[in-house]
Amino acid sequence: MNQPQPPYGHQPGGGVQPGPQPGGHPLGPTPSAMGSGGPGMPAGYGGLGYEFTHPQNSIIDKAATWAKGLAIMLFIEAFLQLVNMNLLMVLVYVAVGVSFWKAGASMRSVVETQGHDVPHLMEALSQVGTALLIRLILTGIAVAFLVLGVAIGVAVFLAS
Amino acid sequence: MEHNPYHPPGPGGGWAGGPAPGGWPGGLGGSYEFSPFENHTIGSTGRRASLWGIVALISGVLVLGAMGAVLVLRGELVAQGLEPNWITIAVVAMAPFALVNLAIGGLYMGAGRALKQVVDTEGNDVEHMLQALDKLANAFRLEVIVSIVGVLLGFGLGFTMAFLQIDLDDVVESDATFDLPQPGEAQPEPVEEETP
Repeated sequence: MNQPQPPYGHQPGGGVQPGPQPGGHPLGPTPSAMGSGGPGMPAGYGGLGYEFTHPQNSIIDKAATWAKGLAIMLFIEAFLQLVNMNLLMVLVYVAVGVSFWKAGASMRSVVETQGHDVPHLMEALSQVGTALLIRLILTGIAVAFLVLGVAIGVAVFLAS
Repeated sequence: MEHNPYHPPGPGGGWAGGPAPGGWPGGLGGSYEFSPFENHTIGSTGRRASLWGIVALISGVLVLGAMGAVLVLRGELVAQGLEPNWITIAVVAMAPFALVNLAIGGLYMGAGRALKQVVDTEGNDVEHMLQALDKLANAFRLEVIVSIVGVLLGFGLGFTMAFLQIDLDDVVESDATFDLPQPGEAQPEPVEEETP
């Protein structure tokens, strides 16, 4: 029997989940999360998501701490670039720093809240992806300028 | 009882301290499979992490190559007038930068690979996800440490250069001369101060 897949994942095996989930939380799913996704299916966003255990939360918390630490260092480097009047790099550092900060905040929410672990984790991964994308674009632009500079230098050398 | 944080708890094992009441009546014991929507986000981030890891690895390899080139051409550089000590200092200074880039590249690539496994495999999504998050945490930590060292070195170098510059300016611009009597010369007469 085909049932529409919710946007958020599910625990394999199907079936209505009586009692607490083996994913970690002893109190089980919240009453508002029961039943709206069809028999045996989670209720989508904010529904029967996975709850990470304490040992798993410790890993996520470590990632959250260092993501925020990296964001702070990027903000400091942005300030130093501001002192050097390099406004473009200020924008880049601030943008990457904000993404890492949001990723850290979302990971912290996974640890400190219940019922929305997976959506928070997806938000965190999305922000990490954004930060890495900004870095990749900047690196690509720098490499392009470097190649262009070398090509112009070689052309000038050959022309002379 | 030791519990591997990467593995989801077994049936009835919701807490590290013991089984949760009720537990799971059957199935795969607490595993979670991400949906295609979630896998899209995970896969995208995994690809970017792998790509950034490759960029960092290439940076590290290029720096190692530059170090090797400097060492190979050391004789010619010295003949050009460069101080041998400065050449050695430059090579030594580049070594940590190369090693850190290689380490960061390896961590990001590992995280990208783990995220890719979340998408490509079934049954161990949570384990792979936590492996990826662990590697990302270590990569972030290494970047923070490198940033702190870089900022401190930059400040230290800047202050040192500023301090030396001020000192040199005072020595160069000063017109003060101190004519000390040479041995055997007559001592200068002391200047009498006029009393008001």
